[in-house]
Amino acid sequence: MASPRSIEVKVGLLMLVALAILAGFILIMGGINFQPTYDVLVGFDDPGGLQQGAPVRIAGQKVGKVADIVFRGKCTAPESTAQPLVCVRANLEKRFQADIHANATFYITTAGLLGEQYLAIEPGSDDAAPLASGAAIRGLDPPRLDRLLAESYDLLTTTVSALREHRKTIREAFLGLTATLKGTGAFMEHNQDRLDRIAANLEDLSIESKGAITDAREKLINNPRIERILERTEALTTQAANLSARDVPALLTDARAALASARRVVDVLGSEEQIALIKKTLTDVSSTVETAKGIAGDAAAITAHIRRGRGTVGALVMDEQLFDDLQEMARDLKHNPWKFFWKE
Amino acid sequence: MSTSHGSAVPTQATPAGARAGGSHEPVPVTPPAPGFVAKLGGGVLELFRTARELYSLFVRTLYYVVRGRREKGAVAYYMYEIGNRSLFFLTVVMGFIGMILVYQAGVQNKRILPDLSMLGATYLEYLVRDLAASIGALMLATRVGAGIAAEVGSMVVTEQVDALRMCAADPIDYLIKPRFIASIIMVTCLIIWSGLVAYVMGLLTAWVMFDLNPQTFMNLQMVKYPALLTGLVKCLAYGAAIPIVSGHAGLSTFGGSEGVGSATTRAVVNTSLAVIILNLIISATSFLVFG
Repeated sequence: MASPRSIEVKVGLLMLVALAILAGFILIMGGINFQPTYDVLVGFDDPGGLQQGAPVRIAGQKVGKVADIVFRGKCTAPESTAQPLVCVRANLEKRFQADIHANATFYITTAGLLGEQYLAIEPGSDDAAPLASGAAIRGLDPPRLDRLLAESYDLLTTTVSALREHRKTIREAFLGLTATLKGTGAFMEHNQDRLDRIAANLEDLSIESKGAITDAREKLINNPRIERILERTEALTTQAANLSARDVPALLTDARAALASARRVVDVLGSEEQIALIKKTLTDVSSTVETAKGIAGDAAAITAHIRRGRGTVGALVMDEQLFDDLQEMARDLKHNPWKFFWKE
Repeated sequence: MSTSHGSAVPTQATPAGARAGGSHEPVPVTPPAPGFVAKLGGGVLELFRTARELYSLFVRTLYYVVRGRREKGAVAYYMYEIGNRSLFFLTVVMGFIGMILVYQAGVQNKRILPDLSMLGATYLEYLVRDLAASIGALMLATRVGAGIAAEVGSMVVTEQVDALRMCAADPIDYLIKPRFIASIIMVTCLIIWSGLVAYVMGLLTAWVMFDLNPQTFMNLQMVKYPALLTGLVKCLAYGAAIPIVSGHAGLSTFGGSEGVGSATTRAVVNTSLAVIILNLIISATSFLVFG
């Protein structure tokens, strides 16, 4: 058996080791931190499972901890008028204050897939001022998985009910779809060669189209003639614009004058009596035209008669022999005027 | 748990025999075996009697802790016996248990999610709140409880305890109190140590078996002060329960060496049972208080 002194030393050693382990664990668990800190108030409507003492992290690095969570705390952000339901007081280390800007985003996320929730910070842009001590800011509420589940459950229930109620219709639809797919498959199988040809033709067509497009680009886009035509068109339009600027006012003036004259004519001729007179005149003109048409027809018939050499005038006009005889007779009478009075 | 000392065989005169033989000698008659209801009632009464005795022993021990005599070196000796002599046993057992727990937890976790990042944090939380204290106390119940019961039981059957009483010395003050004080302190120290061993061995297991980064495993964010307080309360409760329950088993020893063996067995069983029941009570209370 060991001596009493030895026993006491061993027992004391064991106790010291245990106490050291316990003290070290408590200190590490409590997060020993002698850095100066400052507070920021973050408002949430539903901070989910965020607990007091949860870490505050930037890019995964701990920069502080959640000091307090108060329901109906006063932490309304300056740009917001609504009072958030829950106010979270984040205790942040002073050395990170310059990196957390006024437009920083505070949100609640989870460590790992099933881990504890913590407060994360997107530090914001450098052009904004650092977030002041005691400032209030609005945080992004975490996604409500319970609400999502409830709504999904409702959706699923509705879907299942609809499926049950319309089972016959859905079956018919699926049968129809199956028949359609089978028919399409049979059609494809039956017309395999044609489809292959169509595909080949389409491929050729696409190749030709590509060539045609290339040619068209060469001729219509890259062609210097097009450029020249465009330049000339531009010059023409410029000239036309100049002409328009110069002549159109005058033309407009003339047109206005013509329209005014026409308006006066219409005003003069617009009365009922004048219209009746114009109608009567038009009727007379119509009958005159009819008469003229008859006369023209007669004249055409006479002309045709003459052209055919019929009648005296026709013979006179169309018969060259008669013309020659008459010329001879006139010449003879000119030389022998006495023949007017005397017959041989 | 029984402390009964057997049953005397009752005797009574048999009128029929008297008539037949004309003799006046009593004839022994075996009483009818107790029925189910009688057994149930007897068991419950025995349980209450034992609970009352344990309570009485606990209260008297507390009284002697405050007002008892001071024996120099007794507590240190028992602290050495309970604490230092159990250190190797508990270190080995808790080391293996830590490896087994982390390995099984990792395998089960990987079947659901291939993410072991929170394995260390959750393992540490359960270790601090429950596993280290309960498993460590169960191990100590087998070694320390059996030792106390055997030692006290031997003194009872050799009538040393009666001699103490003859000297107007309460055996609880002499035998139970120093073990009680030593057990409370040493069980707490041993459980803290064994918790560290289990955690370190679990860390190594996770590193070797699942290639989990030790930095990731050493995550304390799931451990809160209520969990630590619950674990420490369990340490104190188990440290108090082990000497009380096993001391009661030793003091209620009867018969010879066979009785000592029976008392030892009873001490181990009852101490383990006490640890489990106390675990349930403290865990439920912690849940109700801390949520």
